[in-house]
Amino acid sequence: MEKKQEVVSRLGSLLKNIPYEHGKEYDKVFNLAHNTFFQKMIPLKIVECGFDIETERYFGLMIFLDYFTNVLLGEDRVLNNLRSIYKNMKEKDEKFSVSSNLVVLESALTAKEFVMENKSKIGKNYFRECTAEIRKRFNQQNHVLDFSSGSMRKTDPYYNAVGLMIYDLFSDESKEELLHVSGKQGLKALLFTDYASKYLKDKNLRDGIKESIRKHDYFTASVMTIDELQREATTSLDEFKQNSDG
Amino acid sequence: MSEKVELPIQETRLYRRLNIPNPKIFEMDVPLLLYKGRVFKLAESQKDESYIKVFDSVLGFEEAGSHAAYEVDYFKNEGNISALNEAKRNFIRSLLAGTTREERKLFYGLGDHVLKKIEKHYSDLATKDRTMPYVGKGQIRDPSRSMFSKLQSYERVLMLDEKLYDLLTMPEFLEKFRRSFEPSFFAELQRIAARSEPERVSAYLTSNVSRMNEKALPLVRNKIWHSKRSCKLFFDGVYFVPNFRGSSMFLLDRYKGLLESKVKSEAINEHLLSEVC
Repeated sequence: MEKKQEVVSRLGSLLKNIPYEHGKEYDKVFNLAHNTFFQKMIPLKIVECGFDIETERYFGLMIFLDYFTNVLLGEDRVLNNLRSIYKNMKEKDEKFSVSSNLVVLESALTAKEFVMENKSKIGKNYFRECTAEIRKRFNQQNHVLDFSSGSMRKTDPYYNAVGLMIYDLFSDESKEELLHVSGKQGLKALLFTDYASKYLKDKNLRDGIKESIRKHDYFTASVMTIDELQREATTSLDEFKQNSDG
Repeated sequence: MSEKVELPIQETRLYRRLNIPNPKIFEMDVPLLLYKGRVFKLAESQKDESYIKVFDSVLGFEEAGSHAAYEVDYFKNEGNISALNEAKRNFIRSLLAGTTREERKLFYGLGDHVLKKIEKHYSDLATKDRTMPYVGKGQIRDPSRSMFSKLQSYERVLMLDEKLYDLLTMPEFLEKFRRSFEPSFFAELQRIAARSEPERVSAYLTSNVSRMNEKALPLVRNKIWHSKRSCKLFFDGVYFVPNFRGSSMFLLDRYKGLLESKVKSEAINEHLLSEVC
């Protein structure tokens, strides 16, 4: 319990001290905490992606898509693909929303497509070979904080409450790791890895990813994850789901 | 018969902004609820029946003084005094810059006239607000008569990290959607909203969807009560809906304007007094 509060307080502190991504307030649909989450964490082009996402994992998937789009891939292709799928499906089922399985699968396929297009220039481990470029995007808006510094703004009950909202997005395994997150992109990399790595079949690689996380190197963990994810990607959602269940 | 007096100084200089310290409520760096002249800080736990539910956390409110007391402190606090005196000196210097000895003599004779001009300018500033017609209807009065209380439509607001939210009662919030409801249903809804919990109002709306514009339902319900993770604010025996108004810097700017009017009046009085002595 104490540990949880410590983690939540750290997340509250992180949120309070990073600058706003944007100032747009969605006062008709979202409440106070949601708006703070968006304004601090998610660029507008992701918030306004143009498709409905399953409510249960909505906020986590916003982070996932942001990290995949703006850091790992460096382009919006997956958003366009998901928008197109959503539009087609919506015509058949009015209540259709994009599930987390579909987000991860489409991200994997988009990454695969991206690698195929670029394989003349680089090898199959595209993402690991392009680490420097991805790292540059990662660092651009990371806002690493020194939590021992006295100059940081002190967290408050409101930001802690939003911190709790973010804490709840993570699996139990990753929750404790949040105590070591010191920047915004690190937090997003950890969530991306948390959501995506469970779909991977290769146990050795999963262990390698876990090892990177144990070393608090969330960037490397996320790059390893996307590389393997695109390699294993299939176009079958059922098979993909089985992987995640397995 | 009113006498037209030409000032021997540029009038725009009377209203030029001063470099004065921020009021303390803008330096506290915690969420604040400003209500009937009093200031409440957000607390980790409930202190009394008042609370705000943010996601899964139920937070309380802790009284942290009144605007009147903060204003007394503002003008007496040693940390502020040197900055305020410097602002006064700069103000007088700026007013008299480029004037001749004869013009300055005329200015000394116009002290009351100048003070009235300042008072008029800043009282216009305090009451000029067209941004939020739903609050500031005059039901709530600040008994402490602070300068803050001269600002219209800030009687009940929530300040969250440079953002400002009006606290609307549920009937006030629903008023924004009046045209989306059948008139008879709206009257009944207003009656229920005035004395019920948000959950009940939300359930009532859901069960009467045929009596409203269907598109309005999610918009209204999302703000009042949607699920167990909805925001809920109960204060002073009333459920409020936080409604975004804009940046709190706008309030800071206007409030500092009022504090400046006092600094300017004091500067002129002190200067005139020193001239007389």
